[in-house]
Amino acid sequence: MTEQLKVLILDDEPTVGKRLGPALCKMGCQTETFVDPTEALQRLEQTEFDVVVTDIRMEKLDGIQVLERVLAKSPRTKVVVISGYATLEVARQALAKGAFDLLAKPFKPADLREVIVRAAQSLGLALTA
Amino acid sequence: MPIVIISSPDEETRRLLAQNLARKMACPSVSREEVVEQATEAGIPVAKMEMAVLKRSTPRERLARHKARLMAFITASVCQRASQGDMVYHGRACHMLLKRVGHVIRVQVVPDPEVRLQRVIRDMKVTREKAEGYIKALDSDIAAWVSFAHGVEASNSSHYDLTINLEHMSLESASAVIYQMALMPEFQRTIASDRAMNDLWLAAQARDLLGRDERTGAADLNVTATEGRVTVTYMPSQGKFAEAIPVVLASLSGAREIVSTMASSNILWVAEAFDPRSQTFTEILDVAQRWGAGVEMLRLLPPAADPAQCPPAQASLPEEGAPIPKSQDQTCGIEDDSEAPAASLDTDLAGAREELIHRGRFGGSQVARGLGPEVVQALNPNQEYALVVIGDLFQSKEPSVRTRLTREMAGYLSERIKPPVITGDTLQDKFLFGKRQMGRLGLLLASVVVIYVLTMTNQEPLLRFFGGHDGGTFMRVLAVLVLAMVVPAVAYLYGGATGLILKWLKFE
Repeated sequence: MTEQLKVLILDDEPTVGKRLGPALCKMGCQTETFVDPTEALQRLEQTEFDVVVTDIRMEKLDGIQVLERVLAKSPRTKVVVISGYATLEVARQALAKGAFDLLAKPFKPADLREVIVRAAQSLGLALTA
Repeated sequence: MPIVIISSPDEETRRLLAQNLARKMACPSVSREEVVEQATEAGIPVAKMEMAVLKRSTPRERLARHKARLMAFITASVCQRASQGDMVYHGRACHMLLKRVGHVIRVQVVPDPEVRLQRVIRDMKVTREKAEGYIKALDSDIAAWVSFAHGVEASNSSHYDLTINLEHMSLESASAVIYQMALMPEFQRTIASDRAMNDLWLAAQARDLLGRDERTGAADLNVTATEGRVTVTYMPSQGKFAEAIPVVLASLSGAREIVSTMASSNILWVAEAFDPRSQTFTEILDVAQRWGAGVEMLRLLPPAADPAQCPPAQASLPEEGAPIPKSQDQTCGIEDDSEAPAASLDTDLAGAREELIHRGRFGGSQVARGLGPEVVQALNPNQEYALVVIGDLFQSKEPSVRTRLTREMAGYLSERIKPPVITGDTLQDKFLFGKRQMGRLGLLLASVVVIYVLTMTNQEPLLRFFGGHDGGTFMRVLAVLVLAMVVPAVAYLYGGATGLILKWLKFE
């Protein structure tokens, strides 16, 4: 039996979750979407996710803080950072803190699927885009 | 007071210095980050470009256009603020923005490495080792960005008026030094420097307007302004944008005249692979810039074993459409999935194409499979070609076979098409002036001088010989024969030297 890849999507813009969630479901991922970073972190306390996709710039908590909190709790989780405002400085900071990959907006769901497949492979799970 | 531009890879250092100086100059300080954020709001995908540089992925055609638009946006924004009074602007490599403006002080700031390191350790809460790795990687990324955005090395000190190393100087002292420099007469505003800035501003606004508009957003344009006259040059392959350019620029205020002009001709470069770092590329670009021509690339692949697999000559990339939508639109930065493009045959064209777009010389690209007849077929009948250059072909063959086949190809094309056909290795000899031509010029000039000196110092015997005064019929016939041989030789030497001098002066 193959286990489903559990993916958490966090972006304070609801449209992002609405567009990315179904795109990842199609490839067999089990997704949960959040617009509030606090709620997402609460959920992360309860369940271990394989992949977390998070925006960088959010009002309550920024993506770097989310990244730190996720990896502190579950070092095996792969964190993918997405942003329309990513600079080299922020991107390098995210990578230095352990982000798995970064995607600059605008991007296509297929671009994220490719990253998710790589993340799954690095976790030893089989998944195709 | 002049505009002060501070460049440094360390954001915090340049921000603190700019704020300190701005207080002394009683003017605002503006950061690259503020302007870039406005550019993102305006729909320019800056993050996409930054990530392409970070991942060192090959920049594609569309990124080159976005880069042109970003540079125009930043230049227009800086000029607009500078027109309202003094200002201090700081960024990674902003010294390249107002290059021709006289009342600008370009300062390079080298941050104190220990201060920077301690700040990264504190802010990022990482070990010293990790902080060092972060700074090293970031500096490398920024150097790659400067190269991508401006085509120069950030460390090249010839682009700066002043370099300050903060390892042995406080921010306060550095700020005082720049302030004293700002009082110098060399950097004060003049009518000429104001005019240069207004022209830059006008050209940048025009480029930005053209980039924003969906009718011209996908065009590769070169925009310049001189004394209020805006000139937009497009390549022959992009003639479809010609009508829209003046319409889009009708709303541009401050322009005395708007001229939209097409580069007169194309140079066709036929090769199997195109390397923007190759000598052939540099030489073709040099000739194209001199002639005001576009460079069209034809990637010619070896004939396929099975003719059914032969693709017809095709435009390598569909024209990218309108500019990317704003980040705040209904998609929130998530575009629709489209069919994944089939593996393209033109991957090897990407680097050269990007560089040509950057230089405003991209005249189109095609991919074909075959030999001479396929090249003839691929020529656009509506396009005037000034020159056809046969570059690196038959890469899988032995060097001697490659040379022979390339020459045969050039010969085949010369017989069938109107424009001159040359091989890449003869481009320098025929159209450019390099070290070899310099040596040849020296030799020719020396020969001409020797002939003149010998003639002038032996006038009497020469006149006697050529006048036929020293002998009978034999000597007179000999004189005629010698004259018939010497005159063309002198003409060849003199003509060759003069031709090379004109080529050197770029007067063709």
